Amino acid sequence: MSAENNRHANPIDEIRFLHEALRTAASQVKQISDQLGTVHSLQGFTLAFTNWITVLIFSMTQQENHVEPSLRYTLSGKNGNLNQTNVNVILALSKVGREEQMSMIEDVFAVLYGEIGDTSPITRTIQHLQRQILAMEIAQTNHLETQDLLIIPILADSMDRIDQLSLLKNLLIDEGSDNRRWIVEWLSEHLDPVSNSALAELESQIEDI
Amino acid sequence: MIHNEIYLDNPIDLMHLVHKAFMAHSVRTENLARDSVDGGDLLAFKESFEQWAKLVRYHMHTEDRYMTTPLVESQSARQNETEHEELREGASNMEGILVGGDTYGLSRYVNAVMQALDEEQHNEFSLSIQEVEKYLKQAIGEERVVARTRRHLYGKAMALRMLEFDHFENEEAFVITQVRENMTVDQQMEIARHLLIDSESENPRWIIDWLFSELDADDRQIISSLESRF
Repeated sequence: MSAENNRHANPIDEIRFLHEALRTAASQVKQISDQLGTVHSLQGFTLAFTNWITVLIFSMTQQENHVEPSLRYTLSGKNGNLNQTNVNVILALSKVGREEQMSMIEDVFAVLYGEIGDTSPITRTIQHLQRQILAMEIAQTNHLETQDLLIIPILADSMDRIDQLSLLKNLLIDEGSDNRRWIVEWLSEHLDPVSNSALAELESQIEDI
Repeated sequence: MIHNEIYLDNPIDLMHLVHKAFMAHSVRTENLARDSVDGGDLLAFKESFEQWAKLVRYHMHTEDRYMTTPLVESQSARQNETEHEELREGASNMEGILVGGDTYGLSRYVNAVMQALDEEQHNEFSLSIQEVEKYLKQAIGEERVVARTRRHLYGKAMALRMLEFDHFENEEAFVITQVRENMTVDQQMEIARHLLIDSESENPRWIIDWLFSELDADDRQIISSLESRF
């Protein structure tokens, strides 16, 4: 099956756009944090960090509310390749990854708005920030890997195309926001032209659901 | 730069040079950990870390014994000893990861996964740690398990380096100043001698050899001047 056919057969695989963009955003924030010095304002860092984290938190919330229930539901319908125990292990791993990241996000915000506040950062605070950003990047890398290797393939195998598109809609469209396309817009800023073209096609499909 | 005369007047100022050497070594070690994430040689990191661990343990033991123990009434001295314990613990944790080998990156998750499973299943299923680890290893694949371990190692190396830097900063601000104020030059010389010369080693100058490998010619000259007075 060609990649093009596969894309149409398993739209859930297109979650890679979100994962790629999250990795890129994390890498950019780490680069900015590595270059921070006591003479620098934290404004640029805070903007980039908040930009990344807003999407990350939305993504993790939607995973908890939509992806994991879909996985449970799908597998309760007797997937031949996995027993319930293994499913529970995968879900537990995903939950651990989410909780680890949420805790780290709180730690960074505590430094940004607690230790630093309105004053200029000192070397020690900057180093702690850099350490926490690296820890967050690592935690995200591990978590996305778990999604890519364990969860998405199961969903791709078990859900039909319409259900996959419906799930993707929950991950890419924020129905609770005034601007429901803000995730798609954020993705466009982090993807290359080829991926952006595929994303536009995907968006038109999920809007039809 | 601090001039030679200052070091000769206050031998404890040698500490700034020792810290400088440690910082150079630690940054290099951390970079080796970072390189290992991208497929670099883990052995290079391991060797550099093991040398650091040996040096820092000797250094902290010597400081505890000859520098801070005599400062009986000093709260800063007690804090310094506590920070040494934290560094020893950090070094031991890193050694644990290295002993655990390339599967450590997964093993560290297994306990958390087990706990989440308990909450999830209400003991409906009974899985051993080994079963969970084996399943995850198969599901994720050896190569990615190795990558997770390397990433974890890098994070730990950076955290340990920062712990060390913070400690040096505290020590220089709160302890070294007290030593300068409260100890005679002879007492300071005695501390410096123990810091530089390991009398229980077959090669008592192994610390000086290492310092010479990390420091520039001016700094080496200061150390040589001090050594000539032992």
